[in-house]
Amino acid sequence: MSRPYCAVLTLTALMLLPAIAAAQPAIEPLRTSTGTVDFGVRLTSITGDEARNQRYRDLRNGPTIDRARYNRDEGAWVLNAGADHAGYRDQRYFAEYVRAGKLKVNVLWDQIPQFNSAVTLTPFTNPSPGVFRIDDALQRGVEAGTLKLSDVAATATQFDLRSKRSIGLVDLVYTAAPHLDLTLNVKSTQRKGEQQWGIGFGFSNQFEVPTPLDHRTTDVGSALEWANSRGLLRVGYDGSFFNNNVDQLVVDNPLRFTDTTSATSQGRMALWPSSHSNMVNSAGSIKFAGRSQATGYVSVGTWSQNEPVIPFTINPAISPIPLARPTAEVEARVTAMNYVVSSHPWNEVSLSARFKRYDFDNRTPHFAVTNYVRTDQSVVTSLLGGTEPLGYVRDNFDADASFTPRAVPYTAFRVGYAREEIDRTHRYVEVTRENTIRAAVDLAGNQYVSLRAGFEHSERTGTGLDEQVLDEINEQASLRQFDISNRNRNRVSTILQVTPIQQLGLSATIATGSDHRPDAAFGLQHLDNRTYAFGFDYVPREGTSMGLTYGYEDYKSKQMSRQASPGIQFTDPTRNWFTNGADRVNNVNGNADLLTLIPKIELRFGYDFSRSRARYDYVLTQDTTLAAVTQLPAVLNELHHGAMDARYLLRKDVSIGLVYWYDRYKVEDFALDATALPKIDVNTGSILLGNPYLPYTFHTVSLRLNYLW
Amino acid sequence: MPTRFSAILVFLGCLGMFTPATARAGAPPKLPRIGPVPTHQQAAQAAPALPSGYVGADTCVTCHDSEGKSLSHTEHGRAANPRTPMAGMGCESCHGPGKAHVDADGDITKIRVFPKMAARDVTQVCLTCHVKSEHVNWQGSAHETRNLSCITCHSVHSPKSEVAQLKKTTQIELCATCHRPQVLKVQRTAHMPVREGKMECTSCHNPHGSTNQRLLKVGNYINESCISCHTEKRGPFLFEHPPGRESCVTCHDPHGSSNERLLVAKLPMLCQRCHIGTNHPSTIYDGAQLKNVSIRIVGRSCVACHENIHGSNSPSGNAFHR
Repeated sequence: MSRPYCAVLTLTALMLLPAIAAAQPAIEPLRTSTGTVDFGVRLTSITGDEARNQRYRDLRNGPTIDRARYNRDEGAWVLNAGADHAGYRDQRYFAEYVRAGKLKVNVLWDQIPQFNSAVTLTPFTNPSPGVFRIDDALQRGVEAGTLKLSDVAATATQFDLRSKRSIGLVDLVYTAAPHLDLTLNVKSTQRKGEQQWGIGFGFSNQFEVPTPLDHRTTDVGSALEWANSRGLLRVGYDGSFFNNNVDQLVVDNPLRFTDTTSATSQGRMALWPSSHSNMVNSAGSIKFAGRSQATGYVSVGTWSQNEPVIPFTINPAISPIPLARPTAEVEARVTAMNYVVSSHPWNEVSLSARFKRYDFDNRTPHFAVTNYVRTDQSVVTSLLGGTEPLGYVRDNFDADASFTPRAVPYTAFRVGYAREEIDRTHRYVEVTRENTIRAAVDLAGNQYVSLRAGFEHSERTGTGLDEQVLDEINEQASLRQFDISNRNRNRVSTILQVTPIQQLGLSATIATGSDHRPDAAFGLQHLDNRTYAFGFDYVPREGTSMGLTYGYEDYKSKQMSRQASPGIQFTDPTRNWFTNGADRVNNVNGNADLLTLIPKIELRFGYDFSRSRARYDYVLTQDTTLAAVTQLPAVLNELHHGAMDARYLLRKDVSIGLVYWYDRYKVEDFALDATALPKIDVNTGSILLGNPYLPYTFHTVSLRLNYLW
Repeated sequence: MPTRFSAILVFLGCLGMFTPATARAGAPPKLPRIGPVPTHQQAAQAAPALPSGYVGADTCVTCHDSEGKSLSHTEHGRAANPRTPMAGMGCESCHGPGKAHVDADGDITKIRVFPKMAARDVTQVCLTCHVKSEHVNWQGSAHETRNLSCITCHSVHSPKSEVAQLKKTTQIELCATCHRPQVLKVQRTAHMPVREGKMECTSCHNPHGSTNQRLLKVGNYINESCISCHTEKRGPFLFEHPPGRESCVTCHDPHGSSNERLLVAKLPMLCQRCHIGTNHPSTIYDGAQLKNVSIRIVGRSCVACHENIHGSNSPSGNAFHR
């Protein structure tokens, strides 16, 4: 163990010694304390992928301060503060100050790491943010044919592919008067690190680089809210400001050193533009006779970005194409409304209705493009003549009626109707309307049985279909894109909980769904899912509990396509093919808490298992003229997580503990595992980052000392 | 941000500052007092006379001592806050006048017993105080129309969670009671950082109701919720990818997925649900293509080239290559 860690542990023990030594060693039951903290040390053994199990956390070896909580209660005010994983990449600190009836302040600092890979390789150098270069000699050699791409790959160096999201938040609620609150919140989120990113130089030449992430989002919100038991009035503002410090990517083409009108030595890509959103909102609600309430909400504002538009190409051999304008001038006016009326006029009857509108009014001027440059290598005529500023208005109406008959207490029968209408621009189906009817029964409040069951049937149809648009972009005219296609949907769900005796609870969940797209000659046609879960919880006495749940999920899909080159093949039905997708998942979750079985010892056990197996099987028509297909292997993901937490109470305010975590992941993925990506130059024309999905086994042991005061 | 070593030292220093003097001196720590419950005599002497039908909290705790003690450790028992029940009529703020219940030797039909009340009647009581901010949209919300009440999820007298007085220790355990399919997805290989403790259900949802779809708590539409964290995808962009602009969940499953990047299906099959045109979009990427290491099935597949799939600000970005 390193010297700093020894010093920390020694210091810790010295600080605690007076408190522990001076406390009375009386035998008393545990009492509420005003603070707790775990001091400990963690050791982690890793076999295989170091990154995936630490995707969003930091399990490195070393001393730990965790689950620290401090509470100071002076009646008129309260301070709560805490820290988790102090000093590690996933550390989190928070504090809350509440002055009763007057002020509430929350402060948070939270770091969310993202560890994607510890085995990433790249031959690119990174002389400045967003710029990736290959040695000129290598580029010349590959272009001349004296070197291969594998020679470029051989110069790769290894690095960790990581990023981190750091969030700072201040949230304040000030009660200016008994019914009047002023709220203010400011959140700053910084994201730094690198992300896997691809750039292409032709149909068979793709390269990946670790594109830099260096951006910050600042969200500011404020509101004035007046509320009492009869009504509420609120006005507010929400602003969001996204600033990206690296908004362009320039990448050398490893295959070329010289530029021509059909080949480039480098490529340039636009990354996320800095943008901002400003919205003002107002809300009100009022209660009136018949236990009724009406609520209204309106929000208006704009989303905009006006970043400089990069040139069509970085390739100097291609004559510059004039830009329609130098900056993006992108703006959307966003209006949202939400109105709800609910009433409980009689004890047995409850009614509610809601109308909601979301208007994304994209006012971006058309950016004309006659010709553009594909992958910095060839000038191509634009099929659509430029940008299409997509906008839509989405209206939702919901109405529900619930009946609770006196003869059947604690049971509610509900019927409902919903309608969604979306009117959109720049898509080949202009308007879609979906009508939904639903029914449900909810039996709750009975100590033995609880049942919730529901059924929903929806039908979506579109109008304004313009097949010519599909023709213009060389798509099959009978393609129906699944998010706007006609669709019939059915969903059934049932949740049953039975408590035959007070100590035992049994539960069962069954949910099924079916989507059918009747007019989709091409595209997604069917999507079905089923979920079953069964479990029990057993609590024989206070401090002892155990539970086990098994879940099974089954997803099936069917989609159709036609493999064709332009010309006669495009209309040849013997070239049709189907994809049958199937994804089956088995889950097991178990837990046991034995807190009083052995005096002074608390034991907790947990186990989670998830295994998914997916297949994508291709089916040809009976009169097919296509070559026989070779089916893809199944995709398997299997995760085991076991946990044991043991705590021994040395005294009422001091305990020692041992925590053990076992994590094992197994993967077979034909596209992403180590057999698919054995090396970074996966073929003669591409270099990737070499971060396949890898299995891992983690053993994590934590020893800890818990102190309460 | 500080290194691990310096962060630990700083925290230890703060710990030393806040450790109460009583602990260092050796006196046994005291139980925190969250609003004193007056004795019967004190109430009689100090408080104004109770309205007709009310008996006062001190009378209630003579029989319901454990409920009184449990309440004193929660916000509802904080008499210093004028908005709490304890600052008003005490137990009877929620349970109603108690005199009839006392006079009838504890007849439970003479007082509000929440587990035995109809769901909407329970909620009406809670909503007399919980009327602001995140509770504004309860009436007519998805949970309310399914006959859930406040005590379906919350416990006033015996909460198990650290915050929000839930009936289970953690949010996900509670939500799994009804939303098992969504909770199971958290265990998938591609997931939000829920099981790592960095997010929970209410990071995205407001179970009390919202102006958004699916009880999403931020914004007014699904996309606004997603871009509250993934703001780089807000745009808008010169070239939009329409299904993404209309809804993020066209392609992604936010609860978890076995596919990369929380996609609802593997690439290229997902893209081939909408792109059927000639040449490479409609090619069958089968085992033979896999053996030839076609980059359109191996690795990141379609987005290896069409990387700006959420939208592009480049004038050459109509196919999201640039």
